[in-house]
Amino acid sequence: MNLGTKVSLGVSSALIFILVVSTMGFISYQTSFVEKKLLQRAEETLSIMEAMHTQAMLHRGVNTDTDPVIATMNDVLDRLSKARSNMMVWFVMGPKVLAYQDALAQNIYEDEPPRDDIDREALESGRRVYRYAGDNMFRLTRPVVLGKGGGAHPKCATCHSRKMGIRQGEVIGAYSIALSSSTEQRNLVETERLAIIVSVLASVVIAIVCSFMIRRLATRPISEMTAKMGELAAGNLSLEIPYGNRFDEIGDMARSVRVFKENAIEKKRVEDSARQHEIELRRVLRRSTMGEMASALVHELAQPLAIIATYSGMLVARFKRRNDAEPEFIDILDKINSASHRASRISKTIARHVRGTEPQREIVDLKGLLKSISPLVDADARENSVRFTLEADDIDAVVHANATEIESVILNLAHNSVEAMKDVDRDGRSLRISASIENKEAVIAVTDTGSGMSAETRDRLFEPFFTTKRDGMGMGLAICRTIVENHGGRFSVDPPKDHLTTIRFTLPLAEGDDGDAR
Amino acid sequence: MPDSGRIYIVDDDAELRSALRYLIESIGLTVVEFDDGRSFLDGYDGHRPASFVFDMRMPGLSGLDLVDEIVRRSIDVPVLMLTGFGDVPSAARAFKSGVIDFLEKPFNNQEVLDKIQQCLDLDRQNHVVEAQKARVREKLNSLTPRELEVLNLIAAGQSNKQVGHTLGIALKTVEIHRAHVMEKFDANNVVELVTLLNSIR
Repeated sequence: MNLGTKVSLGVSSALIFILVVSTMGFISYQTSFVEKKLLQRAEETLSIMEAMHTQAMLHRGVNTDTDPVIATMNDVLDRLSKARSNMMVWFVMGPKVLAYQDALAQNIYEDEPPRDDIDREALESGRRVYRYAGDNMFRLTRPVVLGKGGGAHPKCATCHSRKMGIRQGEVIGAYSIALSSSTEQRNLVETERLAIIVSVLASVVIAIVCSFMIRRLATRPISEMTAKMGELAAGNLSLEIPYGNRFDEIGDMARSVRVFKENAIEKKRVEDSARQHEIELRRVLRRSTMGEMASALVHELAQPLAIIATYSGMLVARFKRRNDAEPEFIDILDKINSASHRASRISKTIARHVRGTEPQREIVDLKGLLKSISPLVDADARENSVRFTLEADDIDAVVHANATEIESVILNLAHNSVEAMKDVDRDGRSLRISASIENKEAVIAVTDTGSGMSAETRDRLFEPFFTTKRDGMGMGLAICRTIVENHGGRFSVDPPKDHLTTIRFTLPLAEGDDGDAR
Repeated sequence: MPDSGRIYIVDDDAELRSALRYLIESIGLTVVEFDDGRSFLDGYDGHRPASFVFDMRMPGLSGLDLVDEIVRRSIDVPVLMLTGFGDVPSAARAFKSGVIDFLEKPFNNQEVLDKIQQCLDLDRQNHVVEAQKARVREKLNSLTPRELEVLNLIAAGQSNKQVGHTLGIALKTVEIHRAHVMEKFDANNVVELVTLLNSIR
């Protein structure tokens, strides 16, 4: 379920809840209002009846049958008490009145016993009782108590008390009324239905509008942004991020995503460049290693070949001066001599081929070069708990060099230093690379607090295949020397001092730059 | 031969050293061998004329280190550098330091001998020039202060009359001093005198 749907559902259920609660409140208010209105009508009607009845009772003559007041009242009562329409009114006789009536030989009036629970309750309690009875009927029964209200007139007692034995405060009878509540209730139900329909419709409309607004303002941009972020995470860095010019949270979000994108691009660029760098370094190292090995081989071969060539050459010269020498000997010696030269030429050609063309050189800012490889050295150092410092801030030198080759030299020296400190206490491991200018040459020095080197090691440090490492090939420093010397520089090892081992190399400054001009 | 040269070979390879010695001695030159740079620096006796043959790559002090060291010690003897494969890029630097020539292994015997001869000739010349310079210095030292003043003014291009005027002495006196100077330097004219003076400047 997406955010838009969630928000719309939430908003509509909240609206429906609010509307239902308010409708119910409205209905209950309406209900009590209807009840109040019915009670009022019932009371009014009963008051008229009571007034009429009281008047009839007070003014009646001896012959009740002919008394016009009674007749009128009876007539009204007859009609009202049997009405099936909206209203029914009747009198209820209390128990003592009924008993008196029963005791008479001949009933003056018809017995009017309580018609329902409400009548009985009112008679028993002496208080008025009203409530709904059944679905559409509102009932009220109002008792008449002797000595109170309508029964307070002294004349009442003459008959009810003296003849019937009703005491002061006792119930004589009651006036009852049943009102049909159907009209009011129908009105009410209609109002309710209308209210509910309107509420539901309003909720639906509001929910739709909300949903539309949210979709328009938030969820669509958010989903779009989410999709873009997904693409970003997947590595697609060329996509455009929309909404960046909005001045709300979506705009903030878009701008943040843009920052993420820029960062990702920058990170990728740095990574690419680091990878390129590493590939380049490896390539230089591989080529240098092969070239160095080939050179070493040629170098070693040159020695015996030189001896063969020298001796054979001398013998040829000497025999040629003597008249008795056999020409065949001279010929053989000559062949030996030229073969030794040929062997040398072949080996040199092969070595030159292996070594390949000289790498391109350009003007290189030494400080920049050192700073660019500083993180690589630092990573190596940190991995071995070595503290690394680079002192290159003061140097301002440009050299004519192949940057990658010089970098590989420095990395090689730094790595050797780090390895030389493996047996040293962790706290005492420190590596320093510094650069300076001396005698119009740039000097790069790598100093470590490692285990130092023996005199023999110092003498043979740069020989190919010479190594003090158990799994070393002995090519690293030989390559470094070749690279540095090819650049017109020199390597040297400082005499041991204070447990520090310093190895340094020089590079001639680029022409037209004496180190302080820039 | 009264001034036959001495060749000093510094190489860590004993066999190569003896091959070279064998070759060089065949033309009647004296060879002194050292197996490393340190013992050469300690053992060089200062003989002239001489030529040094250094191997470029040696344990300890390399050929280039040795060149730096003899330059530092003001030993002005021509150096031949023996190189193997791949040492050539260092050549420019070596030339700047005073190396005369290179020999790439394996050598052509005649080339070795020629180059050694060239070095010796050069050293001999240097030696002759140095000897002459020494003589000129000696002569300068033998002049009286007044003669030195006169010489300086003549060398600066002044006539006898101007010299007399500058120094406040008689023309005759100037002429006498001048004659003494010319005699002491064994010079026939002012041009010869100035040339001799310039050689030591």
